[in-house]
Parts: sequence; C-alpha cells; structure tokens
Amino acid sequence: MEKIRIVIDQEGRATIGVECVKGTKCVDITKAIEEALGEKTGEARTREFYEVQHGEARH
Amino acid sequence: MSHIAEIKIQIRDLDALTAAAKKLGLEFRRDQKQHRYYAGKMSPCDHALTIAGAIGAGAGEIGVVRKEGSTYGLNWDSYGGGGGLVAKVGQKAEKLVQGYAVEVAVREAMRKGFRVVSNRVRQDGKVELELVK
Repeated sequence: MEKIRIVIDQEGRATIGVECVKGTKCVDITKAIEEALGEKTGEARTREFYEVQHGEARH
Repeated sequence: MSHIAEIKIQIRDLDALTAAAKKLGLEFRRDQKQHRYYAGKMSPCDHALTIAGAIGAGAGEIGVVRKEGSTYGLNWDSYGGGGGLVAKVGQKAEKLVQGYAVEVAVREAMRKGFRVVSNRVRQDGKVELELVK
C-alpha cells in the first residue's frame, strides 16, 4: 500500500511524506502534488528510500 | 516515510480557491476589480472573496491579486475582525490557505488513484491529510 501524509501549518507551509513499495516511485507520486501546491523549499530521503530503491527488503 | 518534501504554498488554482472558500462560507467573485478592506475603503484586485450573503459596507472582502509567476496573493485587513472575515478564515487567513492546499493536494492525489482516509485539524492547528492507494 502506498500512503501519503500531508501536514499544512498556519504559516502557509506543507510537509509531504510518502511511503511506498519502490523508492523511485515515491518521488514521482509526490512530484505532481508538490508542484501543484507551490514551491519546494526542502527535501529529505530517508534510509528507507535508498533501501527500497536498491531492491532491499524494508523494515 | 521514505521521502519527505517541504513546500511553501502558492495560490495558483482559482477553482481550488473557490472550493476552499465556499466551505468557509465565502463566495468567489471572478473579475471583481476592487475589494472593500476597511471602513468601506476600496483597494484594487483581480478577483474578490466575499462573505456569502453579507450585505452592507461593514462586511469585509478579500482581494485576490495576481502576482508574478501566475500566483495570487490575498489582500485584506483583519483589523477589528475584518468585517466578519476573521471568524471565517482565521487571523492570518490560515484556514483559507489550509483549505486551499487540501483541495489542491486531494485533487492531484486522486488523479494518481489515491483516496482520502483522514482529513483533520490537529490540536496544534495544523491540518493533517492522509491518502492511500
């Protein structure tokens, strides 16, 4: 299952987090939402991202 | 989460703004070129948001003003409650901006096949949206 969590604060900023099966797809999923919402100011790829991107088991 | 992005929200989609405003009891008036901001004073804008059903010079209006790069700004005066606007959109129009962001995010996510499983205002005032596919 792919899951997106978006938190929008009172200062006009949004944080988008995504969990998915394949790491590269995570970026594709959120890219359209990010571009629709506004201007990206920061990005982080967690260890999970690289693990799934390289085909290793998650967890 | 395996990928996290931070976004500064920019208003670009007037349909989403209209939908968000409607949920707060506001009406989008396309091509209204002036908005009432304080004590009946007028200021130029490209479109306006008014309180649905409000009549009289005391009712505040939000000017939707086109800026560079196809984005829009919200011009209004919250002084003294902004003629009823603060009760609708919050002191800094945060409810309107948060509602706009939810509309945009949900529409875009649904195009990718996601569905909303949670949409709530947290105790800290932040809006949290969860979507799954």
